[in-house]
Amino acid sequence: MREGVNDTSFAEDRVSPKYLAWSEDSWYAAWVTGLRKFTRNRAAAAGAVVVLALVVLAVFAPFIAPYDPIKISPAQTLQPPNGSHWFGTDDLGRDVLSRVIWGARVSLRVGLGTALISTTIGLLFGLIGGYFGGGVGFVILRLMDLLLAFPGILLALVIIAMLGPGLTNVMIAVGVSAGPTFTRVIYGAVLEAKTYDYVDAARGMGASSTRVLLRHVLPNVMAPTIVMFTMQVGAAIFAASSLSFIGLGAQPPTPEWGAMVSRGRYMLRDAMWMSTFPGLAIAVSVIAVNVVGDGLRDLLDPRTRFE
Amino acid sequence: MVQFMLNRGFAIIPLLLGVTIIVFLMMQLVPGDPVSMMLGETSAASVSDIERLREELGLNDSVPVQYWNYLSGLIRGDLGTSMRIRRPVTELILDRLPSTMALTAAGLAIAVILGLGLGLVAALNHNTLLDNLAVVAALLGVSIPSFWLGLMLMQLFSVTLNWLPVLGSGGIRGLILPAITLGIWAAGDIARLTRSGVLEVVRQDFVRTAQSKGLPRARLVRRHVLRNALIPVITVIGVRFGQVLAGTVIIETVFARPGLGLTLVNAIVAKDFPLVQGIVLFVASAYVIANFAVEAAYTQLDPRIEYA
Repeated sequence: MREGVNDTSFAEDRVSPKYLAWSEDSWYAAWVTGLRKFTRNRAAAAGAVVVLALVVLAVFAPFIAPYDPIKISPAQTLQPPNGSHWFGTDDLGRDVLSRVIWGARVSLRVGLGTALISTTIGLLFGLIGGYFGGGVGFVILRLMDLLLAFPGILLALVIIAMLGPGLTNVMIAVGVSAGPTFTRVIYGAVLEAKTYDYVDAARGMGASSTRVLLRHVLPNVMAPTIVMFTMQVGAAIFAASSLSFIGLGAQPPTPEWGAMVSRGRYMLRDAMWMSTFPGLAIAVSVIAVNVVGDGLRDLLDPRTRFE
Repeated sequence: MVQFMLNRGFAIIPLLLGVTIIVFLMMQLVPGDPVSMMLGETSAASVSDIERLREELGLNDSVPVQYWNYLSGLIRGDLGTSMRIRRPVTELILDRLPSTMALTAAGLAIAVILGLGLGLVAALNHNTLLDNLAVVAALLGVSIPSFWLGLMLMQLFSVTLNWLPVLGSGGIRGLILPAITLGIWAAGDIARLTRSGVLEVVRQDFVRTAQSKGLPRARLVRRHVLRNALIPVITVIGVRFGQVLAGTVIIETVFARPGLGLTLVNAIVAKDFPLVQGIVLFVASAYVIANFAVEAAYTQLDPRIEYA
């Protein structure tokens, strides 16, 4: 692949189509076509609307929520859903709807924070490992294999055991535990990008490793990274609420969906609404984010559609 | 096959050793002194008592020596002693294992049956209403939090309909709801993968040939389509095993089943590190070995795959 550097006759038809999408004048056009294609996928468009609604709820929670999510009202305990409390009240008289709305803020923050941690780990190790290869790449890959030997939420549980319970620690734990998967995918994408002629050309012209990595390799790994980031937001909301449910995440009185389901489980017989609505909120958010992620994958990274 | 077993068998040894190093280091990295944690903050132990306990536990040795002691203990089946329950960790694990293995096996079986069925029905009725329904069902399966689904099923079948016991292990009847809850969660991915695998195979030339020579549909699906489509699915089942096993942490909490998962959660809350270490090590090793078994099954199912 080295000899391709000075051979310009093939350059044009070997330029990656993805590179074209990043060129300056087609930038706007690419966005418009992309958006049109995305909205044609009706499921993805519906998911995007729900995600947008969640963001609005999270950002404007203080103005949207009808009651204080934390204030205890002994006179209002365990009211079934009614005109003034649409989702009913909990055993401490708190309005469940208001807590669900504030919960959107908690869950989105955890989802985005977790995805950011996973992506940072994946980009750092994936770019360095894939680009420099050799011993560095080998060590990074073996380390990731080792971490992948801890299945599912087990690695997150190990990290929580070390850091102690709490929502911030859950964010770190879930974020770090997805790091190996991110690293492996990005590593693979970097290996492929390295074979493109213009990357060779840039190196041949004497560009520094940092420049080649950031200007030429990074744009090529953005598509799978964006898809994984989106999927991770959903996965993190799911995992963090599960961990909060078992008591290792959000601590009272934080209005967190998983913790709310947990509080309501002992009152299922008499006050089902306490668990039902926050559970529905988790399901709806995770479905919406997953559907958007699927849509993005079809759009940006069609090769990985099947697993 | 024997060659494969030998080669791969040796290859997983470094991985298992790596797992023990991580689990061992976990204890080292925990802030705070294990002895004072063991004794509790309010203990009136004298300085000399503490020093004696440190010496007894080998905490005054260097880290590599401590690791060596830990490893040689492992080989003898000694995982240390639980700080809170004051019983050997190995004994506790063996005690809680049957309940968790029953749940994992039943959950995985339900996941495989449900996932394969759903995926196959979807793919064979590609782009029909049935296909769309199956795809939506698979999405719901992976997106609905299992702890919530478990509670809702419990409310419906145990409280409202009164068909099944509410909590506790209670033999086979008590296993039904936890296994279904766990199975539904794990079935989603298997369904998606089966569907895409079957769709891929159906497009192949040999399927069209078999079809044009007049092979009955049922036989075509069984002999030609499923056999080829299932290969990637089997890998995923290996991965699912680990996730289902780890998922018992949540399900056992929901249904208050005294298994490994619930014990792990309680140990984390109580900062009972030897017990946490022991369970984590056990689950990770089981996962590594299960994946090895899946890989071995692979070479039997697909003669094209050969490991040098």
